[in-house]
Amino acid sequence: MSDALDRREFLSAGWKVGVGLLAAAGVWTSWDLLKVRLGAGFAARVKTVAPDAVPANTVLEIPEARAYLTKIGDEVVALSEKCTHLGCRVPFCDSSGRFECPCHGTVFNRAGDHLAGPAPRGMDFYKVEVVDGVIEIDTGETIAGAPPGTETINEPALGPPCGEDHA
Amino acid sequence: MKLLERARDSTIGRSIFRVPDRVTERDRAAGHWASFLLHLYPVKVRRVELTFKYSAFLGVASLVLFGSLLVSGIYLMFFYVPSPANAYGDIQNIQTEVAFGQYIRNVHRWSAHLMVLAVAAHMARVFYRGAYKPPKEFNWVIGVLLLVVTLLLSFTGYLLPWDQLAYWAVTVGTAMAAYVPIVGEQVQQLLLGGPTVGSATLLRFYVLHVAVLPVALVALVTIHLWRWRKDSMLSTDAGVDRTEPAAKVQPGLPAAAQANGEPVVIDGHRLLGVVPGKPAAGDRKELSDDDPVMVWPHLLVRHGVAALAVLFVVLLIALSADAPLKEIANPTVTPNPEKAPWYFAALQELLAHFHPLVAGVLVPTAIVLGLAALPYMDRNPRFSPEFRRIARITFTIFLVIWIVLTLIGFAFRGPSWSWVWPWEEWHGEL
Repeated sequence: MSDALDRREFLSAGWKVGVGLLAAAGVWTSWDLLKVRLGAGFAARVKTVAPDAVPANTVLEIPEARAYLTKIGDEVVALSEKCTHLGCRVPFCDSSGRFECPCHGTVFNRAGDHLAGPAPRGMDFYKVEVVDGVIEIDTGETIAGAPPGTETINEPALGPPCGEDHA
Repeated sequence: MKLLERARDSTIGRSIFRVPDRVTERDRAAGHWASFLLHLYPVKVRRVELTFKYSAFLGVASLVLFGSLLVSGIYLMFFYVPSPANAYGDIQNIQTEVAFGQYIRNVHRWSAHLMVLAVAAHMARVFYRGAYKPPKEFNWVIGVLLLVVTLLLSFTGYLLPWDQLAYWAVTVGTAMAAYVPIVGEQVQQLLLGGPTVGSATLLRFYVLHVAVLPVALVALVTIHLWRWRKDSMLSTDAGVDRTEPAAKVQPGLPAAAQANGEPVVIDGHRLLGVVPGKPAAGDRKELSDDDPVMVWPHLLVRHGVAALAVLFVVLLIALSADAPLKEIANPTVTPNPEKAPWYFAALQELLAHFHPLVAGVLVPTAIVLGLAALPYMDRNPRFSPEFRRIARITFTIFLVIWIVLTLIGFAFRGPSWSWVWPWEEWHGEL
């Protein structure tokens, strides 16, 4: 009798296991109900402009894709507007020729390389493809930006940054 | 008044109000068993609990503010639809068309901020009093949970006006969740209901704000008060001499007990002979902090006054300052500077200096867990301040650091999180 589970112990353990399973099932179903279905919302291919219309010294904003187009050498890249730090929209500062995040002051260069500030990596990318002479941005998948210290291009600041004029 | 008394004395009246006339103390005690609302209170409390110095009535203040939030919140719910197409317009409508709409919205907004303040101050006061010590450890833990739920309620409510302030504060706030290792991105998506703040986010935050979190708060407050009631007559010194330093020699007690400085239990009522403490009979009794007093009316009257004072403050603020409403939420323009709600300003300040995993995940987790573990880490049985120097100093240092960080993030940061003196240009947002 000593090793065997007696009736009381069995029922008591059964209760606890049952309640545990019920709780686990509750958490699982809640998670399943509330989780985001893939493809919902913001995962479309966005048609933009012809490759020739993409500037090489500044950026072109594509609001529908929440992205910027620019050229690195001859290659067109699409940079996500979402700051890799905490998701603020990073505006491009025309006077300095750099991206300056208003939230915590992260600075990226025109190619999205991390220059200064608290963001953990450079700006994220989207895949681009030329279809019928028009660039399409695929916002369905985000390609993580380069780690800090990466230097895709080396462009000194054109002028004063935007953040300091208290705009 | 006569009519009211006659109604109470009728058969129906007596079936509703079963509280006896309060002539003796026994009647007053019976009132606590017979009345639902009064049964939340103990029959007696220690005399010290009546003083302002003891609690500053911050617990009552928190509860009254929660009541104010419930009432004003229900009023607002009648005029609000949680969808990006309607929300902002509904708030404008509340402010301009609905009777007392602007005032009610002000009451809701300012009560929410005051409640965060009151709950935090209540917690600090309880710490300095040492009221988290055995057997009240777990009620402190429930208090920590209440602080978290209060902050979550305030944060979920922040999104509902769907203005620029709301949109970007929530964008930043939920982005922090993504840095939680392994499950972070899924948790963020679960909160947002999509890749960015959108209609699903607004609905989710609304449901959390008006249903899930208030129910959780009420449940926790109920347990919190029930435990407070159960422990109400426990002396804070729990058998430890509170006022006398341990080393002081007391006449008539075993020398061994005094020499090693152990706390000495003295029961002046049971021993005959010359002992320190209160005389059992004879001289007029001097009132001590630990003497019991009836809650009805002594504590109730003070709580009533405290509640009125809190509501009066809310009324004054709500009449003199309007709750902010910025431009409608615009995902393509991040305001510069972008500020989190003030109670997260310290975190936002840290976020500007450390990796988000540290500032956005590890620090808040450590604070909540550290606070919850406090009564189990502090094994010192003493209550009086002179025996709790390390605990008090440590807590005060953390508190001051947090307040300073909050002030910096709230008032001293301008565009691109640069340093701006608040008297030169004001960038704080409430």
